[in-house]
Amino acid sequence: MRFRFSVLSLVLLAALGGTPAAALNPDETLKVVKEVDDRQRNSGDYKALVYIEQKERDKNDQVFEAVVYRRDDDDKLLILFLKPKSEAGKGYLRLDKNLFLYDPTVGKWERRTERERIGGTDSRRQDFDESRLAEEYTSKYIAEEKLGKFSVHHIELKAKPGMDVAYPILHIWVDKETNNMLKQEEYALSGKKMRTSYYPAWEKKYSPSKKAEVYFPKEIRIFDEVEKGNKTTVVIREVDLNSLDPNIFTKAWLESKSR
Amino acid sequence: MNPYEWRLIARLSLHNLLNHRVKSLIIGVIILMGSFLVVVGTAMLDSIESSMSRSIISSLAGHLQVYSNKGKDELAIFGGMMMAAEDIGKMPDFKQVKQTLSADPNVKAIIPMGIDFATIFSGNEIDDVLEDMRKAAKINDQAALTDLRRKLMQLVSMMRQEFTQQLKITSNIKKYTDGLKELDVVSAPEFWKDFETNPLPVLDHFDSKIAGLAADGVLYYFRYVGTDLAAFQENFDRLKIVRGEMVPKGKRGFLFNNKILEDYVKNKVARDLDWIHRKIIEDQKPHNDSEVRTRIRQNMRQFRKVTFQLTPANAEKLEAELDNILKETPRAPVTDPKDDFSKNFAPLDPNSRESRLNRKLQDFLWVDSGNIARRYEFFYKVVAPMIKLYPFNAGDTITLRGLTKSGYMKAVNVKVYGVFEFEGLGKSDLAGGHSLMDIMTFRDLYGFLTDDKKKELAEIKSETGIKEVNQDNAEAELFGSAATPIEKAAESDGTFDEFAGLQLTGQKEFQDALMARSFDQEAVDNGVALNAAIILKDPGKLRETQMRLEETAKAAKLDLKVVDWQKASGIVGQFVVLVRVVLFIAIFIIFAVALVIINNSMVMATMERVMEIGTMRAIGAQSRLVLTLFLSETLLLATISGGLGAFLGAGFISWLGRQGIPAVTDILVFLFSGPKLFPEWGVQNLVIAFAMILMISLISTFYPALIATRIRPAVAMSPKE
Repeated sequence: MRFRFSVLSLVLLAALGGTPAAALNPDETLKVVKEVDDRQRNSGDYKALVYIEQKERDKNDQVFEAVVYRRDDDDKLLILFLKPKSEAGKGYLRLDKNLFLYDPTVGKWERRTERERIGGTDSRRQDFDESRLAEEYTSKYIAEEKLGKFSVHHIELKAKPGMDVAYPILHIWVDKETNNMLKQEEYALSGKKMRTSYYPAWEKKYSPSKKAEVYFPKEIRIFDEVEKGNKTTVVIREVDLNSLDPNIFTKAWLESKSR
Repeated sequence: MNPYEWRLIARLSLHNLLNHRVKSLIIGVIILMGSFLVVVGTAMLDSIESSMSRSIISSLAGHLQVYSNKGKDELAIFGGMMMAAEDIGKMPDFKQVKQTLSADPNVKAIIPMGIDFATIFSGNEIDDVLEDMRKAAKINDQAALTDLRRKLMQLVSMMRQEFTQQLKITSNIKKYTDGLKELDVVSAPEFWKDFETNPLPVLDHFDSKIAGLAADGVLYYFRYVGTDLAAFQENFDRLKIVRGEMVPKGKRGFLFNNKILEDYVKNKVARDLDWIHRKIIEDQKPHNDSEVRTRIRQNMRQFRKVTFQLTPANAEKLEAELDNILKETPRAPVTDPKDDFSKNFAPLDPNSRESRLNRKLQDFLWVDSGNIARRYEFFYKVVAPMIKLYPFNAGDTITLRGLTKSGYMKAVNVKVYGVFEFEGLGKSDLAGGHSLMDIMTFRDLYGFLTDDKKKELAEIKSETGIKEVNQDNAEAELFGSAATPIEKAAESDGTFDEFAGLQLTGQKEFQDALMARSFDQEAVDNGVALNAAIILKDPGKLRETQMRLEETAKAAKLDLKVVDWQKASGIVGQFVVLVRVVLFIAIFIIFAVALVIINNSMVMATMERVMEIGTMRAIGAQSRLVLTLFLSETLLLATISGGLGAFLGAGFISWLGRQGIPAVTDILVFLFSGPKLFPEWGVQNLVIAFAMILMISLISTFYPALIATRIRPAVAMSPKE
């Protein structure tokens, strides 16, 4: 009987593709998610030069160059478009839970939602902001999986009640070895998959304010799952972790840049 | 047959018809009804088609429309099957199109157009006040700042009142307690201590901490036609300015469609009150009609759309005025519990002025059939001047936002000059679906991808040098065996100057200068248009002109399509075709049934007349005579009944033509080209009906007549069983 059970177990294991990896318990899972956040957190100021490219089926490609300013201490964020000429001076300013859009050609501010498509692309404010996964979502370990040649933790994240996030359900795949996030899938509340993003390259830089290294994705590839064929690529070309002028995160500063 | 035989047949036919009165009556009534229906149906359809063509031609389409034959979609001026604007291509050089086609002797005018969608964002009440305060702060207008500060604090006070009430009923306690804490901060005198010398931090604080607590702003979505407004006004004579003025020739400007403003944009309380007033007064519905009841209850709940807009002085004044009107226009006692809306009242705090005003306003909005007329009048006389009835008024500058053809979002400021409607079509959603704008602003908003811009984008792209990855093989390409190391130290560790070599300033000034500048006809013509309306001198020659213009465009290698108003109007234009098909199917069914009934009646009548026919045959009547006799009986009956039916049909249409058929829905207003349709009949309707009825009658009689010819004389001689 014992022999038969062992054979059955082996057959089942073989059918499942080998020895199953040990699942992380909830604490360990949360630790991984926090680690993903912590590695990107600067605890100070952050400035990045980014390139955004949007490809849509049957439409012209859109490309932008923008500078992202971040003050992680008080959750402030400013995205200022620099190129092309027609977009230069437009900007998004996040103050607390508000996202404002400024257009210098009309000199107007508009309040936008968390689901705003930045510059009309498929990227969202969260793609440029500090990672706050542990703060905004509860986590659940799904499995250890393979993503190409990398062993990854597959974790499901669900938005905590009252959190205003662009997507209420996320699935993330985190590199077991480095703890860098390699893939993220975003879902609507109905369970419909909305976007798949890949983070194929990460860079690190020493931060004087954090007194440790800060990690940032060099490249983000975002694929639209609703409008198949649409994709956005974000490339972070330069990062500067020096202190920023406190006035940057004001409407007046952004207006002054294009006046 | 000789004249004697014809006379005989005529006399016999008449005799037989009278002899078989019941049969004749049944068949006669069927023929009469058939004829009546054909006259009425075809006359109505012709009248609708004619009035609808007037609506379409005189509102937007013109007699013909011309557009590129390279677009993916067909032109649909009143919208097609898609929610988005159709891709109809473009006419890059409108001037050439105009010059080429204007040479045709029957072309009176060619008006360039571009139809697309744009959005207008309107912030909440706090956003609006803050925007005004920023403007005042920029020019250091202390008096305006003081006034606006008072209004801002009035809003804070109302929000406090609302949040306190919400705390009693909500499960989301944290949201409202946090909100109240934020309201406490801005209510404290020390928060305002540096406001006069440095107002911006205060405004920033309101922006980030308070404005988000109020209701969301509104995003309006508009379909508009960019056009040569002067030429449009000259050729579409139904265009009527109902408020403000026409955009001056050579100026950039926007005209709102009155229907859009009234139905979608106007203050919600006013809009609902309009609706309730219309239902009770015009449609004579009682206030306890379920639809009306729901709307009254709903309107009572949205009282803040009024109170949030009041200045402290107006709030005080309105409270006193409401006391008077409530006394003057009491409600009838409530007998049905369903009409008791008192549970919709917000809780009353007698010591709070905001709470008292809220209660009185809610009480005022709880109207009934007896007081609606007076309260409606009061609303527009007293309340409306205290609030902003429309977020956009003549004289305002609005910001239109659209997705350009190059894919980028684009915003333009444009001045609103007025509000218009197409005369007689004011209530029609279809004619009321488009606002109007000058073509220069349209061209800015439509944003074609120029060669210079293409080059600029290619340069930006080449600086990054990223490789293309498709989703299907993304994981293999990005994380497969050939993947580059995932983590490395950043190559650059210094700072960078993001503004090196860039010029960000001067865009607003450039746009403002564009708005202020006048443009001439050359500038209007010398540019791109998506389509153009062609007005003909003689609309009767539409078909031949259309063909001639197609040939002209082809010869000039203009790659154009020329379509008539019906095709250009999209689904709307196909409506008449649909109705015609339905009518013909109905007529076909009626006639098929009539044919069977007539046929059966005649067969039965023939059987009854076997002796008679046998006797006729025995005394020498040929089968040809019998056949002719039967057919002539039917012909005589059809002529009398069909003629009478056609005459009654024409009479009925004439009566309707005098009375008018009211357009009870918005779609009918468009189809009827006004609030009523006055149908007319024509000779063609009578001829068609008469010809059809004769044909059907003869066909249905032919078989029984054939049976009659086969009756042998011996049958008449044989004794009855």
